[in-house]
Amino acid sequence: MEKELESIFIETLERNKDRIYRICCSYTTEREDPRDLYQDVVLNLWKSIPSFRHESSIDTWLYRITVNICLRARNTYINKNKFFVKLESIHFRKPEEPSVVSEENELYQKLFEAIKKLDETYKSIILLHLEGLSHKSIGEILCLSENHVAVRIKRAKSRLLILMKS
Amino acid sequence: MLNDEIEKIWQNSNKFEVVEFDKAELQGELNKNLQYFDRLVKRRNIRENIGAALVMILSGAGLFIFNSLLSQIGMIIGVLYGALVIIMLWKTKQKRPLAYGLPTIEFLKKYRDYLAGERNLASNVIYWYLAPPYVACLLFFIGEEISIIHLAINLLGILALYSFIFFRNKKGVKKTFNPLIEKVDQAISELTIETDHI
Repeated sequence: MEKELESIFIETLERNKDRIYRICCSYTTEREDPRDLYQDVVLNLWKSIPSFRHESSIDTWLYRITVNICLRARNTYINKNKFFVKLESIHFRKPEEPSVVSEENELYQKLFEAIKKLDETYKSIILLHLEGLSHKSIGEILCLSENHVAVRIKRAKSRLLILMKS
Repeated sequence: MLNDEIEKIWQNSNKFEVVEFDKAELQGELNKNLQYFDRLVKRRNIRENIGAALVMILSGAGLFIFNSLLSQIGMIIGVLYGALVIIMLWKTKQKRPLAYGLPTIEFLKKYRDYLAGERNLASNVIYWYLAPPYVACLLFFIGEEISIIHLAINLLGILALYSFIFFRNKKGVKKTFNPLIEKVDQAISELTIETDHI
């Protein structure tokens, strides 16, 4: 059973690997390496497999753990660099060709900076929303009602727009 | 302006690196790392407990070696102290928030409890970690009738060491734990208060 779950997990991770990395990037400061946080997330996801109870989809579960680990990483007193694991099998490749025009690139930069400035709860909600998760899934991840998620997304977007304009 | 475009901009961005891995290789490496960390944790637990166990054994042996009543009371305190340290370390480990699969609010609440536990441990260090061996030493020295000068030198030495540990922990509570707990509290209240309003 666990072997089967491990294979499902690897498939799910493969499907969501870039999205998880984007979330990690949004939670790291300039002094931290998002690759370290990403590898920490992957190892902790692997460690948590036995606790997966099929109460939600495996994707939802994966995002929940990712958000929790990112939040913990932002609020820890432990010297993180000492404990980060290096997974040699994970490689990070720079994208070769720009897929968006420069104006969009500029907008993206502003968006990214604005997301980083949001407080942590708004950040979690907006990141999950931007990654295309439904309100229901976001609610399951954060333990919020769908209505609440919708209101928070609306507020987070307004804040984002203000931050991007400023 | 951008309201509907935000998702598109975010998802089409080429700013982020692309993650690549070989599934079988990653699976093997994760299992290897997990075993390594398990071993590391076990060794650390053993190391932590060995110190306390040694205090218990030496104090227990001292009960049969020293005849003075005060020394023996000191030794009993030593045995109890070793047991107390083992219990405190065990209790702290139980509170470690390993349940990352919990919904975020619940996770944050558990994490807050864990941080509060660590803070209590640090702020009460004088009662559970420093005072008992100090009293045990004091009773032992008096029981063994060592000279006033030796007694004063020994006790002052211990006191200096304890003061260093005490103030270091106090600083840790003030500069590290309190701000962290405040931050986690803030995150919890941001999520829960607004939930109540809807």
